[in-house]
Amino acid sequence: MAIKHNNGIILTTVEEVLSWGRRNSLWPASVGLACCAIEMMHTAASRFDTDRLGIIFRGSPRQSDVLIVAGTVVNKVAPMLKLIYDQMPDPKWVISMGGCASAGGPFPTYATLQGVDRIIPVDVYVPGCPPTPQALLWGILELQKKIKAKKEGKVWEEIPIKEVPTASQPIKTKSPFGF
Amino acid sequence: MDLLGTAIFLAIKSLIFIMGMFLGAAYLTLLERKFAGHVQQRPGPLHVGPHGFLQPIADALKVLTKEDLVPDNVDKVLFYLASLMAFVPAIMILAVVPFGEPFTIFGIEIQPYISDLNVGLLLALAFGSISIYGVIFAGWASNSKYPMIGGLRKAAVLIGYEVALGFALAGPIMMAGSFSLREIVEAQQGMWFIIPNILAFVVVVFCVLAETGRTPFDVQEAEAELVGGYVTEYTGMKFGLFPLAEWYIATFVLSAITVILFFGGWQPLPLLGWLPIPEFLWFFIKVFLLFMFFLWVHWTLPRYRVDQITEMAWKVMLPLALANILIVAVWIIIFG
Amino acid sequence: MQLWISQGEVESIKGKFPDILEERGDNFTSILINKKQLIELLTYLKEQLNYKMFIDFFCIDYPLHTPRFQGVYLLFNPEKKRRVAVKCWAEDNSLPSVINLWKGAKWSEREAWDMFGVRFEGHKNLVRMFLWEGYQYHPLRKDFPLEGYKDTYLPSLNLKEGETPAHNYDPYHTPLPSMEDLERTEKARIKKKNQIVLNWGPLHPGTHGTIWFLFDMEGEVVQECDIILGQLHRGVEKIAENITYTQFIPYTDRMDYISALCSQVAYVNTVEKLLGVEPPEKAKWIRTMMCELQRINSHLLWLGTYALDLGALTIFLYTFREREKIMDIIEGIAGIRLNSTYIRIGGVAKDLPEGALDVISHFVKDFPEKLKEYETILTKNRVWLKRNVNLGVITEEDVYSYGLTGVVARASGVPYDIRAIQPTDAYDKVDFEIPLGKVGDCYDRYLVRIEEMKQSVEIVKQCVNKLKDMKDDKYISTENPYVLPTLEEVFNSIEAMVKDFNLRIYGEQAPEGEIYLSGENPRGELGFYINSKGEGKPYRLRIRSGAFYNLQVFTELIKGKTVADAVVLLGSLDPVVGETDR
Repeated sequence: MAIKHNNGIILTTVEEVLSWGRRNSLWPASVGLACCAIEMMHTAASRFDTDRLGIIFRGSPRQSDVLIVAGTVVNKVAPMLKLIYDQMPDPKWVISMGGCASAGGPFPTYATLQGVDRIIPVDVYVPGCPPTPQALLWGILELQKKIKAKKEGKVWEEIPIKEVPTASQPIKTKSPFGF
Repeated sequence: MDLLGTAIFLAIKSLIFIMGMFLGAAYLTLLERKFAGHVQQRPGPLHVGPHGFLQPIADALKVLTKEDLVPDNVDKVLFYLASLMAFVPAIMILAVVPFGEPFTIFGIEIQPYISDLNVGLLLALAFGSISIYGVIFAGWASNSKYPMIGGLRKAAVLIGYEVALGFALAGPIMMAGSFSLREIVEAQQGMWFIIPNILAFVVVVFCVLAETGRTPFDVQEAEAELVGGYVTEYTGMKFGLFPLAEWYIATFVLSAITVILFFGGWQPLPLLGWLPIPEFLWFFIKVFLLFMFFLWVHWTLPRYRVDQITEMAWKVMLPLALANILIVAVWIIIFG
Repeated sequence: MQLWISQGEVESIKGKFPDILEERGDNFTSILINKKQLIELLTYLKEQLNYKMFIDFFCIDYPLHTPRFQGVYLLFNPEKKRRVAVKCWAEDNSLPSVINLWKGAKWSEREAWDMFGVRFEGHKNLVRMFLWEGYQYHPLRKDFPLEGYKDTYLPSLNLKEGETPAHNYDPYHTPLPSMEDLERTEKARIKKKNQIVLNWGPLHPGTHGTIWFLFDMEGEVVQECDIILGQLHRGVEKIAENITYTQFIPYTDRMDYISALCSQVAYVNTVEKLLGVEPPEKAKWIRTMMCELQRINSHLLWLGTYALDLGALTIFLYTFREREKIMDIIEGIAGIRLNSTYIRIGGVAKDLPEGALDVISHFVKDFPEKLKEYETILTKNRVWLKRNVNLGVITEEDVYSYGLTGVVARASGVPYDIRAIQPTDAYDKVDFEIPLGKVGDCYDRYLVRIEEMKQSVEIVKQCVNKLKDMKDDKYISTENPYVLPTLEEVFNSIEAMVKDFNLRIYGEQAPEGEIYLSGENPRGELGFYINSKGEGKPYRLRIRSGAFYNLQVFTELIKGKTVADAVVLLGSLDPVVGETDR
């Protein structure tokens, strides 16, 4: 992770201050879907205490800034999750917590949504099954960095991904069976 | 000219009071979060500013710059009006709350209150009742089921407790023979009013908890049941005003009135009168202690069900308040 | 220890129903009956032979057989402590409904309709259980692929043009319901008769996950209620049919994620019994100890969230303080905090690390004091009593009719505890009491859970004492051909490597047969029915979830109560959505 390409846009102090306010008061909507919700609760509880960073969980999406998608999103709940996201006021961010939310996880089935980024744009993916509270805190801190970088007009460079063969772009080599 | 001067002077003083209350309420949020944190064996806000000291500023900045979202199908006029209705009366009670005796600095007499009305207490009660409309409007205007239930619950609770509160306040008024809060404090020179009015004090504590929506009476925004209660549909600063008004300003102001009525206002604590502490500081110490007591209750107890709360209001609190009036009447007859 | 119906009783049934076919196996005994006499036989079993407790109902798909589907009813006799399975072929894709005999059959019949497309004659409201109205398929049929049919174009919103996706990525996806579909699902459940229909859930802070409640309310009083499940239906039973027995262990964690270890133990015990594997003594004690730690952990989470729902936020944070300690212990032993996948077929994955027993004995020494702390705040608290006492009374009759198990059953005075009825692992060697309630209200369920935590502490103490003497014993019986060798063995011997390869690729070639075995989860009886056709993967794996059946009684309890009571009732039943939806 790195902040690169400072385009040199001079930004007013006001925006800097607003960005500081926003990233230090990220209120997540408490949407617990599955196992990750338990670790999310642990993150909020005494030992890890998200309140240290000014993070308090809100029940209503109208008052939240960040949606932590904690757990498996199944097809049936996907439209409702989208609704929750739509109900949140701007500016808003999404943290996809755990393998299930990021890419379907260990459930490549008929009922599971293969990645929450198919219905809502995601800002930070937190790996793990489930991610530990430390990992979630890392995700929140990454999000704070991202908000900061954006307000400074810098481009946020994500962790570079190695070229992997995919269904849409398979590696162009001949298969051992000759076809 | 004299009238204009007084008006300007009062305006400046009001501004100081309002700004002070705003900032104070913002930092009361931090106080509550820190207090809750330490009760729950965690540090509370810590990393925003030194020891979390800038947390309220960050929250305020964020809340103020959030998108002002008004859902479709809401009653727009009432929707906007509700948050003001909840907030403005709560802060207007400050107009009649004295923080000390008038004192002189550099030859100018400064009165640490905005006005010393002879019906001050009545005005405070009246404003307190108006702020309830904010909650009910919010529940109605949101055109949503959870806020509706939340607003109705609050209405049901407050109808009961307003009556009990009114009767409970009768005791100190009878003893002081005045509605002016300043005169009530002055009447407590020899003895604080808590001594004969202990029952009234108990009633008032319950009423403050109920009016400010703190556990065990926080039925109107019980998160596990009603998501956010009547504020569920509110966004940004329109939302921010509700908890600020209800949880902090109202609690603070009602604590102040309770201190004035029962604990001798700005008079020093017994046996500690020799300490070189100014009057208004004594007052704030007492208010602070009472405020902390409410926080302590809030973070300890589970909550009642709404019908149990109303039942308690009518079956326990009202008779207690009436009994208090009787006791005080007998007291006055005996001791004069 | 076997719990199946005795030969004598089957003979007596044969006298009355000469057409039945008895299938007696080592681990499963069933009676096959034709569709016409099914209700008659079930009534006879319930009323004459006292098999009055409803355990489970499920279907099995045999695509080459006509009729195609077979229904299996599992019943329990609480006096003689015996089980019986009744099988019946679903002629014309339909079976008679048994909701008049057992109310608990309502949801499992809905599930069978949802998953297999079997209809039930006489069912009051046969709607989709997990999927939505308008979904075209019945996923557990053998001809339905695990991945479903991908026909919706649903690309990632994060993918910019010309970018390589981060994972193997298919822009086509299985169908998602529209909001209209969900509305139709809702309308199919409940008809508005009173003032408002309140949607409580699915994404709501008070519903313990993603349960979707529909309350038809008059004022704040709930008159009618139905529950929509499936907001976490991930197709676990379908997955099980496509992977090997060992590969399925992590999925058992993710079902009941609060008591992962208990679920693993229940599953692995079933598979071991099917395969005929006997774990070493040390593994048994470790399993028992870990199970009880997990039970404390689970009950602590319950206590915290229950108190949170009732407004006492601080208790929540206090219980999480203790939970962190148990999580650390589990992390130290298994390597993972929550979904630990520690139990293996034939033993446990790793030996206890050095010092683990010291940490555990410290914990069990301190814990009773902390428990007392919680009790000081809650047990005699007036507000707590007012909210809990005499609320949601469940009678003994309800327990049998709904198939309630676990704490919910025991709080109503029914001593139904799998640990005592059919002890697995080391449960027959440890001393513990089964706390029972008297009234069966929410307060009793609270007291029983608190008492269970104390009992669990006692069990853990006994296990620690025992394990201290077993320091160098074997923790997994790798000599058995079905058991995966340890990593060390794989690296050092070629035989172990080949065995490892075979087991991992082809799976444990289990003998043909059926088995039903259950474990006592913190949430109730977690049973696994496995139908093996002699392959490396199960032909049908049915999960009998305690929470699924316990939740069902909620619709009955809530009638005439307010929304404020709904949180208390739901909390006291303690469902976990991962297990109810599977």
